[in-house]
Amino acid sequence: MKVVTRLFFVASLATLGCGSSDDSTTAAAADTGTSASDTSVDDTATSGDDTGAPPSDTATSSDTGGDPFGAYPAGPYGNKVGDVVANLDWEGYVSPLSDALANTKPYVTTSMDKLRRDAKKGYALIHVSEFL
Amino acid sequence: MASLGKSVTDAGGVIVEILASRGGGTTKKSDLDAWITTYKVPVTSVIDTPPSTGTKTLTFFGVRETCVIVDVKTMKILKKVNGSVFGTGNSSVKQLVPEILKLLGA
Repeated sequence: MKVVTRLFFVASLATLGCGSSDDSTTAAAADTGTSASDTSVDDTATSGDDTGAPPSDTATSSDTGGDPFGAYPAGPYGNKVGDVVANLDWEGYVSPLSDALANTKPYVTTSMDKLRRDAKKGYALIHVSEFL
Repeated sequence: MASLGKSVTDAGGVIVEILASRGGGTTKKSDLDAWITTYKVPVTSVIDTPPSTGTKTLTFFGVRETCVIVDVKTMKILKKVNGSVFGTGNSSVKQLVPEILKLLGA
């Protein structure tokens, strides 16, 4: 009887040790925090609403072999007609279809380089505003 | 901006609204949210990142109410309008949307 009890105990220990690999894979997949669909919880800060970096906007990059846009053009950069616009970094709401209020979209980091890749045709309009 | 912006993206272009400053100073996410809600902005809307490091975009473009059309392959500025900072006349966006729609073949 004692032998049976010991065997049952050992089998139970072995079973408990075998289930973790799948769980860790699942946990890792859910924990990358970098996918475009990952909505960061950025409204929990008290007054400083900029604590913690937003996730990067990856939804617009096409990684299926070949980059039709190529590397971001080199400088010198300027703001006059004929000049190349600098690759500025931003954070905010990316809304390539303009189909809803912008702040219903995920809050992400982005850049001029990332945003230009949303263009189905070759032009972008950039507007600099101030909230008075 | 609501209908103007959508007309550009519907035609295949990209439109980016940068809230470059608030009262001459840096902007935070809460400023962006308030601005989007107040003006019902549907297009890509952003602020400098990280927000505490100054007004990089405003410094680059020089003045607010600036609108440019760029060729996304070369990132060269094709057209530029500085609208009125006093809010008179057509905004720079209103002036350039017809131009980008022509380029987009709309």
